[in-house]
Amino acid sequence: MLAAGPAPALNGTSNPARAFLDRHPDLADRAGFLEFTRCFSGPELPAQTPRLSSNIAPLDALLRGGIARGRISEFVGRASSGRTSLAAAFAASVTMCGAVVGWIDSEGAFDPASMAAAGVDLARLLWVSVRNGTDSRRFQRHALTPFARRRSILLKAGELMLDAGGFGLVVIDFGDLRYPLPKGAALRLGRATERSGTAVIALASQRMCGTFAALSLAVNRAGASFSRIEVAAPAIFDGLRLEATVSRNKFGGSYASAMVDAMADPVGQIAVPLASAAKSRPTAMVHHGGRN
Amino acid sequence: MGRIACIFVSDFSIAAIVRANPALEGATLALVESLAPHAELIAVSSRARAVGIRAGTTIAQARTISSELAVALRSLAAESLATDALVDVAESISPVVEVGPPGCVWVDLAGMEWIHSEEKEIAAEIVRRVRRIGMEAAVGIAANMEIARLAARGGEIIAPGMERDFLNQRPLGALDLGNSDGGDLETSLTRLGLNTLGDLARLSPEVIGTRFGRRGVELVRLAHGGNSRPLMPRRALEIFAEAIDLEYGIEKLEAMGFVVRPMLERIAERLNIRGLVGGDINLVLGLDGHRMDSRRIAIAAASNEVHAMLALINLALEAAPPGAAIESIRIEVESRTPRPAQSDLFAPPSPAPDKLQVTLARLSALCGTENVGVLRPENSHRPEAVRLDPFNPPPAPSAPLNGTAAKNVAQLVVRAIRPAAEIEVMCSRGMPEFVRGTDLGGRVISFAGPWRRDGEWWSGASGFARDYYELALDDGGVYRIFRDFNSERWYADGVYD
Repeated sequence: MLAAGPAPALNGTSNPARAFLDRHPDLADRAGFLEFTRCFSGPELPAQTPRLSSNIAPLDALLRGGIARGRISEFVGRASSGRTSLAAAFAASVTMCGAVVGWIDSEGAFDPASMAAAGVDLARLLWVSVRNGTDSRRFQRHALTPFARRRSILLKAGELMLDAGGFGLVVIDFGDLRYPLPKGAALRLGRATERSGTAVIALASQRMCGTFAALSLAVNRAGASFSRIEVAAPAIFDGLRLEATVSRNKFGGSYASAMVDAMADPVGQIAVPLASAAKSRPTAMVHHGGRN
Repeated sequence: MGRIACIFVSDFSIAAIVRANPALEGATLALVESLAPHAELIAVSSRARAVGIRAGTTIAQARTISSELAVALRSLAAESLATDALVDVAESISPVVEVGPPGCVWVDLAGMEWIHSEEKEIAAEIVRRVRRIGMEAAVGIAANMEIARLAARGGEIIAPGMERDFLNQRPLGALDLGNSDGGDLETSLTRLGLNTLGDLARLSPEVIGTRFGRRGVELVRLAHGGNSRPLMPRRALEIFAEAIDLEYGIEKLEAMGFVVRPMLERIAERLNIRGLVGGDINLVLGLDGHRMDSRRIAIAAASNEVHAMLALINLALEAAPPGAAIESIRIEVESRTPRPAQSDLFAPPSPAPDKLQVTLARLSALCGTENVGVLRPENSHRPEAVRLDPFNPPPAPSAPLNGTAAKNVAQLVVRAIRPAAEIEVMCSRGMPEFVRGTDLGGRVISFAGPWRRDGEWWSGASGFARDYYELALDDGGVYRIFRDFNSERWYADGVYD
């Protein structure tokens, strides 16, 4: 019996399902069973689900057209991993079409200047900060810790937005919240997302929604790029090189990865002509690699 | 010939008190001007009347008749607010409305045949709407105001041309002559053998005028069904208010919710009837010791959501609790016009305006008004300066959008650190080498800068001058830091992410 046998290793270096089927050719026609036992990294949801594109070619190619509408997509990474920039690309794509984005900010980290530079139409972005909302006596009555209060308000705000309907994208920035959501809360959020048909991006330092997220994209900083116009001139921060890896995708395509360049906006920060900076970059680039 | 409807609430002062205190509904209730034992009752409820209590008896006498008698002070404020509510109902039917004696409002029904096929439907609709605002009314429809008022007492609809037949059977007492010219006129007419309006109509106006003056002539004209002056409308209300005087002071905010909620429900119902939504709230609290506490509660998005309004009031009171027990509450809600809900077939979906307003109100109640809206960079030289605007998304472009060309490069954004965190930076030959802070720290791998920013020096001491750097630390983060020349301290105000 397959169920009683040892679980196949999922080392991620090759297709584990294919390796397993190679070892058990008699089970080759039972892909559905394998999918149920999570030995198979194939699609768990139909690929026809409408997608939301980021307009970033490598990212869209990695995600097979973008993130799914009506599902939760997690962008997981540490500080400076580039997860917020990728979420901003999706927000820009949505507002460019005239739709509305909701951004729930757990730690007041939303920076409107850089978001606008990333192409987000701020007039179409509803910003909700829960940073100071935890003072409400309504939540103090329940004797919750500040962490639990913030999480409760985040989820409540997310559900309110999703129940309103009509949002093209809702971004829930969990910030530095360290623990995954309880299964009940993640299920509620997943159900609300499915009902509304809105794409939801959960930004966090680790996976928050568990199995209720359709996509989990691990984002790491592959490198930071600094360049100089001249040898003696001050360095210029060009941007980050990001490595995005699909650690879980219910639509298939897990373990694939892509490199995405995220360029800093030099216009708002420095007074150096862009053309001269770009011209000199290849000759004087200082590249510092390394993952988080 | 025009058609006038009269909305009439019998025992209006009682109805107003019951509307403000729904717990008194169905009670054996009497109203007085003072609570002294020998004070006379000025109005009694129908149940009190049924057990034999009449207006004019003293409180002590009435209590001997029924021990269940509840005595309350007459409230002119409650009557005024109930009149406003009646006017709201009337204006939801027709724009031409005149306020009559207490409990009586006239509505001009000209043109209403386009909306309702029968006057009976109009009357039933008015009764339903009055019930929604917490009162019971009767509606009479006739050719002019006075006949409509007489008809309203029986909830009758007088068909055109049938006014004389209707009036002929009315007793003179139906005119409430005692309220205007004293009881003498009715008595005098009765002594002359005139018992009905039909008797009066048979007399010549000149004869009556000689004996009883101008009022007598008006009565004869009314008995003929001839008074047909047009209604004098008043300006529509822009502020919807409800008030209550409490018998005992409220000291706990939780208890206040039980009082405020019905008031907000009544205001929301009135706004709903008028097709309006509630905006900013003025809350006026009368406190123990004749003190007043007045506060204005800004609403991010206008809505008639009672839950959201109540939550905002609670938040405002929790932030700055009143200094003494609350003895009276007055809530004024500014009305706003709801956003039009017309959407475009070719535009991307967007939140329905009414739902969006309710959602914004709920989010404001949940997170605070200052945390919901459109966050924009302020027109300032300081990079951290932001302002919050109300969320009012522009309509989506109606033309079908062509697909935007995909890019190969994303734009890097900053996660702001608010307020900027003070850090310790160790420099070597003027260049940052090591950074230590509360949530960050490490050796500097590479840095860009410095980039000088200064400004507001023209505004005096608040001017700033900073040198900005971008640092890549070995903890994995790329931070935006600055050195403040005024304080000679270092701060981190963002992390590239």
